[in-house]
Amino acid sequence: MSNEIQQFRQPATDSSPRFEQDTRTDERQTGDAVLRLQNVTKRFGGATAVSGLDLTVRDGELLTLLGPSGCGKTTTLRMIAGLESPSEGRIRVGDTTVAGIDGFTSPENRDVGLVFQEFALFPHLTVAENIAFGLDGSDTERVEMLLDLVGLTGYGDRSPTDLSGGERQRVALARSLAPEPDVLLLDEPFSNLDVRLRVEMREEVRRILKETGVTAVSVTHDQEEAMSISDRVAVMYDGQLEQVDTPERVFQQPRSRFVASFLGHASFVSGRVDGDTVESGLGPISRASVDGLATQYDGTRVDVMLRPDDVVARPAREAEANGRAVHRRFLGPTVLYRVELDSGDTVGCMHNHDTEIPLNEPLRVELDVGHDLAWFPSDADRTADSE
Amino acid sequence: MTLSDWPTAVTDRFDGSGDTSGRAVTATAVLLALVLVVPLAWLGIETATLGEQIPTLLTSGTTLAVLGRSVALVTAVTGASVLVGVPLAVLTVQSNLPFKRFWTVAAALPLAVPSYLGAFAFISAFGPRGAFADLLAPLGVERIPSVFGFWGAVFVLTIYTYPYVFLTTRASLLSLDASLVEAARTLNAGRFEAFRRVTLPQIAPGIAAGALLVALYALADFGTPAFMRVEVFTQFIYGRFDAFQQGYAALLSLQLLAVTGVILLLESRIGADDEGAYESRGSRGAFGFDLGVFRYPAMALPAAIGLLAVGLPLGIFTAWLFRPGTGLASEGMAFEWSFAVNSVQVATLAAVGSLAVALPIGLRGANADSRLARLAERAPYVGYATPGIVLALALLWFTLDVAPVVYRRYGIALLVFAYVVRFSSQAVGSVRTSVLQVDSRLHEAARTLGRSRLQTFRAVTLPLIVPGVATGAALVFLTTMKELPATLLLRPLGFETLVTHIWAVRETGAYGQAAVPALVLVAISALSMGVILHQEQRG
Repeated sequence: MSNEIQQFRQPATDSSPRFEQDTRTDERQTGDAVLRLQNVTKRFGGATAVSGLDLTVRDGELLTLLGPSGCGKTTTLRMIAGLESPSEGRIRVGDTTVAGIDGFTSPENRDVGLVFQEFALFPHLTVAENIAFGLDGSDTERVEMLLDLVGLTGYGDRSPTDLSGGERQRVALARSLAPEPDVLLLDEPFSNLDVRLRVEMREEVRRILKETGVTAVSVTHDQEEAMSISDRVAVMYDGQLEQVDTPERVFQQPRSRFVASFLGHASFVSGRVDGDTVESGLGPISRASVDGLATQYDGTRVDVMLRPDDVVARPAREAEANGRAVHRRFLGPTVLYRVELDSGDTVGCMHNHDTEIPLNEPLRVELDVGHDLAWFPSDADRTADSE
Repeated sequence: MTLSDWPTAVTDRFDGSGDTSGRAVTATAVLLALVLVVPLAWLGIETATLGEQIPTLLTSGTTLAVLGRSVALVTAVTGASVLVGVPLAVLTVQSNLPFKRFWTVAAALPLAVPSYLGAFAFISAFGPRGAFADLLAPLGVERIPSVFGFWGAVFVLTIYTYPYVFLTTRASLLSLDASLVEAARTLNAGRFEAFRRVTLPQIAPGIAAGALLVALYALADFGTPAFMRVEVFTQFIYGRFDAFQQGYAALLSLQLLAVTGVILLLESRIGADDEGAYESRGSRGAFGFDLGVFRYPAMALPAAIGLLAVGLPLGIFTAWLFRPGTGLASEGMAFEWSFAVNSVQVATLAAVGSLAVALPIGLRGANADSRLARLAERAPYVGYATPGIVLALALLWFTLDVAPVVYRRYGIALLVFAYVVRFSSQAVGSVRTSVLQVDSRLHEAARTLGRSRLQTFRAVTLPLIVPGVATGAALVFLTTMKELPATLLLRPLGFETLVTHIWAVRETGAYGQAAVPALVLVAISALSMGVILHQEQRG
């Protein structure tokens, strides 16, 4: 772990673990590790693109590297493919070290496939020839099988020119799957498709990957895409891994404010831990509904994270009001209000489009949650770590 | 610029497809095209005077030998240019060669020396009693292999024309989607396999385009075979003309045109590729080709070629400058600055004339619904592809038959007309490119802001295309300065230019007198290469 994380690490306590789920065994995590990155670092000149990355991907798993542009996710992918070599650290595919101090395996000699962002189909070859490119000789049977798999039966003789965006993506996928790679990498696989097709292809790509059982690592900056296709999501920021977890958990229990904000709208309400409650601008929040708030935080200030659907606002008399809406953003089915609380915090508040909340009028804002809330120590970017 | 760069999908920028001004421009363009092309028909008329002799002459041993020698020369030069140009392009684009920018310029630099000057320098250096032989004589070497003849010509033409292949291959390599190569690598193809299966097929059209430019050049070149004493088409035709065998010369000219046509046909077949085809547009640029221990030794290749092709002529000409006129007939051969004035004069007229042709054709744009206009637009390229000697003979006979007074009294006009026919395509090309680069939305914006069509042209289009127009004129000027065969045949009696002076010097052997014009021409060529490179960077 990097120093940055360590400086926010809390002293270990003998109290019950704060994050119960950290020790819970997930059935998905029991598979064999197919891809292992250990302390992988990449520097370009003076700039560090990836710093001390540790990541394990298990057999048959679909893991997505999620982060904003420039966070190092594509560099990580290219290092796994062998198109870049790490400055430090080790990459293992199966039982073979493909990059490390003792050598570097060139891309053609590691069993890693890559689906390119722009698909990179060979324009001078037909669809079938593209798919057969990585095979020894032309195995027509296998090519036919792959065409069936990606739903392009009978397309073998066409040229990439004659295909639509979605069809090109299917060919690119089939081509990468043809040599039966140990790991399949997908670089922003849907960014080249229009919005409607993107949703359709997410489902389709996931189906194909699961059908072949291949281990896959995909890269995206689209949090919706990451959450909808992945078994696990690895959120990256500034060359480092922020959190690796299931889509549900990275969304509901983000480990840093960055993860919280990157995966969707997040507001932070500050409060003071006081016995069984956290006193906040929304009134007292039951300590039981705040996720694993350890006793050592008694009497300290914390920020509780709220998603826009965690709070409701309704017009109220001045006496019982605790805030007012200052901005309204119409999103179609829903409306997002920005509400300033009397305490000074600002929260996002999502309402159905037919519920009209007046702007600049007294409002009563209350919690409406059925799950535990995430929190952060007030002076830190990240949740305290119980390790 | 390749000959297949004829824009095919140009929309009419001045939306004059149906109106009268549009038709007037089309009519002008068609008229110009006719004027440019009709004289070529006179070759047929001249040939016809041979009557029954035609089959005999066509199949005579001499004719077949010339044809065979020309085809062999073109094939050898083209093949050698590919062998030199492609590796150099790969080296300067994809490898980790040190000082790549420097070597790129060095490898393109031979274009800045007209090949006949290169040939001149070579025979002076390596010919009998040349500088090289003088050097070796004290060492007891009395005879060195002759540089004259077929292989000498192949060598000289190759080192001065391979840059066409080098530049077009470079352009293809630079536009090659690097992710295609990466895709091949992740699909288990090694470095060389990926080059063979992915890179090579992708850059093949670029290589072919360059190779065909080389082939056209080698076939049509007049000066180099003359200096190297190889009797190929251009030389043989000139010889027949000199011997007053007009009909035979015309027949051979048609034959040469036919061979040119075959090459152009090949070019269009290869060039007629992927209009609107799927193009992979991932990350562009270099894919690292690690030279390993050969990183520094690899610099020897561009260095050797640069020294040979550019350093040697410059050295020889400079040496002449300080050691002029060694005896013999150097008297009547003294260089006069009036020759340079003459050159500048005709070149300026040619530039102006070319613009007069290029502006209507270039501005008109190829209208999709007017095949006539599109044909007219191509007419200048016919002139460009016609070997200079053929065009010169056609024009000469045409004027002598139709209006002999033109030849006797307006010789300069005839000469300038020949230049315009041969080189106006360069002006058309750069006017066209600059017109196409004007975003049609700018035009629309001006119209929606209340400007009329004419006002828009003046306020928006014209200022934006002026650099392109100037470039076109400059190119014609500079190319005209070094033109040899048409100048030689069509100039009025006693009219000497830089190139005709060099030609005369070659015949008398008073090489020293060629120093100044040769150096001036090298400078002119370097300038035109600079213009072309600058233009390409803007494009």
